[in-house]
Parts: sequence; structure tokens; C-alpha cells
Amino acid sequence: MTLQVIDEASLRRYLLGLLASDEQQQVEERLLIEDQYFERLLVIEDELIDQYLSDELSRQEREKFNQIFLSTPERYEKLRFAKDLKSYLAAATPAAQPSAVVTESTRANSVWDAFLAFWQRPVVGFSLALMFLLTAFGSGWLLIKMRRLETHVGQLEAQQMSPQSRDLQQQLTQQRARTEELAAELQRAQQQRTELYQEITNLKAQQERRPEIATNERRTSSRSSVVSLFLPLFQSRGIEQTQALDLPPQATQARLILDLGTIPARDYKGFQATVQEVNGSVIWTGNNLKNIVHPGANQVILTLPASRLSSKDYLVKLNGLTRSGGYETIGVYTFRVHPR
Amino acid sequence: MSESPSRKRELIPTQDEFDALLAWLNPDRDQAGRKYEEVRLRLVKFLTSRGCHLAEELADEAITRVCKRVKEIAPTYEGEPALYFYAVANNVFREFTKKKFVELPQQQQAEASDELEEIERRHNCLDQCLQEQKPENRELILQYYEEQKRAKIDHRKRLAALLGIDLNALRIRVCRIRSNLSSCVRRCIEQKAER
Repeated sequence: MTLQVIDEASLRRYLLGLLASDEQQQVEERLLIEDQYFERLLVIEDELIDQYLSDELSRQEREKFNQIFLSTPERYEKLRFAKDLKSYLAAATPAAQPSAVVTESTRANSVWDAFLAFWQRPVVGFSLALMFLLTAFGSGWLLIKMRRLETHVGQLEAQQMSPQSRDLQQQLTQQRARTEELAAELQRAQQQRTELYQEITNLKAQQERRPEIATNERRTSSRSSVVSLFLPLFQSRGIEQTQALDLPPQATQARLILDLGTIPARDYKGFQATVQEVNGSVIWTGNNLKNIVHPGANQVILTLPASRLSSKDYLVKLNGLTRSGGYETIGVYTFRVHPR
Repeated sequence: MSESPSRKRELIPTQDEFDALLAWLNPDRDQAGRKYEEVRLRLVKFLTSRGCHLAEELADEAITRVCKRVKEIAPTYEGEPALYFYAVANNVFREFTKKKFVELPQQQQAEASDELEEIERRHNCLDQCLQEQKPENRELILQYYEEQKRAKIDHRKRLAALLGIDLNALRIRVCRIRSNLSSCVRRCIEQKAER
């Protein structure tokens, strides 16, 4: 027996008046000077009352309890309180339980307590062990069964699906090849179309200019202030091949489009042109002229004041500025101005 | 304990005597006050344990006697003052028993008279006082008394383990809560009786 148990047994006997006088004196002296001992007395006092109410006391203890313990109003009051507490707890409905105000921690304790109590039951333990064994056996059996099924299904799939999948794959490959061919064809067609479109554009541009060359059609409207004249390169032709420029009264400028034909304009750093009468009088000179190259055209354009021109025949001499810095004659153009 | 008025006046300690008593218990007055209450409570306890239904009166009588003599004994007394109180209380109790003034209190005899009404009133007070407790104390005391007989021992051990204390500490904790609750219920009943 530990010291605490001995002490508690003494205190219990003390409370029931079962101690001899010398023992009683020892207990009482300790109660006066030892706080913990006194605190233990209070605990045992409560427990004795509870045991009395629960009918857990021996016959002798019960007799002494009634005779000695309950002989004072204080003790009687303690018994009364214990009785109240016991009946209160027994009659406590869920609404009277402290669940509404209990803290989370104590609620958790309560739940945990119930949880522990449940799992500590022998029946639960045995059932759990049995369940675990059955589960382990069942899991193993299921695992093996599933493996077999997977293998079987795999074999069946391989047997049943091979001819179909092979055909499909061939078809797919052919289809892909065909698609690639079509894509290549489409690309080629698009390229041809672009080239054709370019060709048509060039032809159109040339056709637009040809009538101008053939008929020397005036390219300006009656309201235009600029008149243009396309002059083909006729290096060996005579004056009888002269182009005519209709110069309306309102014209302020004359634009002469000098065709370079097949002359490689890139060989020249720039161009110089002089417009002169057939008697040699120079009426206009243009330096640092640039050729204009666009699809279907290789030209040098010069613009001179219309006032410089009158109803005469003119010569246009075009010189090219070579890389070495000198000028060389590219061609001579002739044109005739019709009266205003 | 019936005394004549002059005798009663003699027994009432003067302020000077009471101050001397406190000084003897402890030089610090606050500590002395607490010690005084402890001694009184323990005297009541052991007088009650002896079946004395006037334990408080006898304890006060013992303390008064010590007060009257404290100036004489304090300078020469060696040891725990509480034991001197105990010795005096023993004498008081012996005198009391010689008078054979042991009878059951009237409260006990009147128990059955208005029992149902009284139970309801006390339950209401208990309910009110439980609500006034700290939630953790309220939960603890309700859980502590959840199980009965043999199951309660295991239940209380588990409860102590959950709180991280030993069973003895749990018993003490519950005892304190119960004591507070009991005091609260007593006050509540007294207040309702006054209305």
C-alpha cells in the first residue's frame, strides 16, 4: 500500500469515526498543518457521500455514516447537494447538457473519450482483428484475380482487334499521304496562280500603254494641267516616226516618259536629258534623273514646263551617267507638239 | 453554548487582541488573514467529524479563547500556531460534549415536508450555477459523474489521462469545482428564500 492509500484509508476511517483517539489526534494535527492532507480529506468526504448515495458503503460504514458523518448541518448540507447533483445529472436531458456552451477542446475530449471507450471493448477488438484478417485475405485474392483478368482482357483485345486496327492504320497512312500530296498540289497551284496573276497584271499594264503609244492618245482629261507622252526608244528610226503631243491651253506641265527598253538602267548611276528643237536649240535640261523600274516598265520620266513647248518638232537626248563618272548617250527620242 | 450577555461581551475579542492574533499567525497581514481562515475551516472540519452539529460555533469559541490569550502565549510559544488552536478546540469540544448537547438539526427533521418543491428549486439553482461555471469546469464535473460504480473508475482514469494529469489531481480538481458549485447553490437558495 502506498502512503497515499494509507492516508486515504485513515481519513476515511476518521470521517466515519472509526479511528482510535490517538490516531484521530494525529490525523487532526496533520489536517491543521498539512494543506495537501486537508485537501485530500475534502475529496474523500465528497466521495464518501457519493458512495453513500450510490449504496456502495459496507453495512458498518453506512451505520457510522448515518451516526457520525451526518450528525452536523454542514455534512447534511453536503449530502443534500450531492443528492441534488446526482438527480440533476440523472434527469439531465440533452437540452440541459452543456453541449451548447462546451468548448471545442472539451467537446473533442468527450468525443475522444467515447471513441477510446468504444475501441477498448474486447468484442470490438476481436471483431476488428477478424475483420482485418478477412480484409487482408480478400484483398490478396482480389489482387490476384484482377491481374489474371487484366492479362486475359489484354489477350482478347489483341486477338479481336488486330485485323481491324491493321486495316485502319493502312487506311490512315494512305489518307495522310494523300493529304500531303493534296497540300503540295495546292501549294503549287497557289504559286502558279500568283505567277499568272502577276503576268496578267504586267500584260494589262503593257496593254494600257500600247494604245497610248499607237494612237498617241492624250492621257489627260480636259481639266488636267499635266499632259504625258510616252516616247518609245527608236534609236535608228527617222523623224517621221515622231510621236505627237496634244498640248491643251490649260496644260502647265508636260511629262515625257522615256522608254529604256532593254537597256540595263542599273549600269548607270543616274540620267541626264536635254530637250531641244530640231535646229539644236536646247529648251530644257534635266540632271540627276532616276529611272523607274516596275514590272513591265523600264523608264525615265522627265517633267518640263508646258510653256517651253510650242508647235514644233523636238528631240530628246538621254545620256547615262556611268560608274566612271562620264556620260554616254543612251538614245534620242522625238516628238511633235500639236498646236494649242 | 448559552451564555449571559456580560459573558458574551467578555468573549468577543477586541481589535487589539485580534490584531495580535493575526500577527502571531503571520507577520504579513494578508497572509495572516488567509491563515486565520484556513485554521477556522479545519477546526470546523474536525469538529464536524466528531459529530458536532455546532462545529462553527465551537470553532469560533476556540478562536476567541486563543485571541484572549495570544499576548501571553505568543512570545514563548514554539511550533505551529494551528496546533494550539487545535488544543483549545479540543477543550471546547469536550466541554460541549459534557453538556450532552447533541441533537439532530431541525433542517433534517423538516426534510420531507416540501420535498418536491424544494428539489425543483435546488435543481434550478444547480442549473443556474452550472451555467456560471467556466465551460471546461462545467464539462469536467458533468463528465466526472457520468459513470456509476465500477465503470466510473476506468472512466475517471481515462478522463485524467485525457487532461494529462493523474487521477488524484483530477479528484482534487473536481472537488474544488464541486465546492464552488455547492457554495453557489447555497447562495442561490438563500437568495430565493429571501424573495
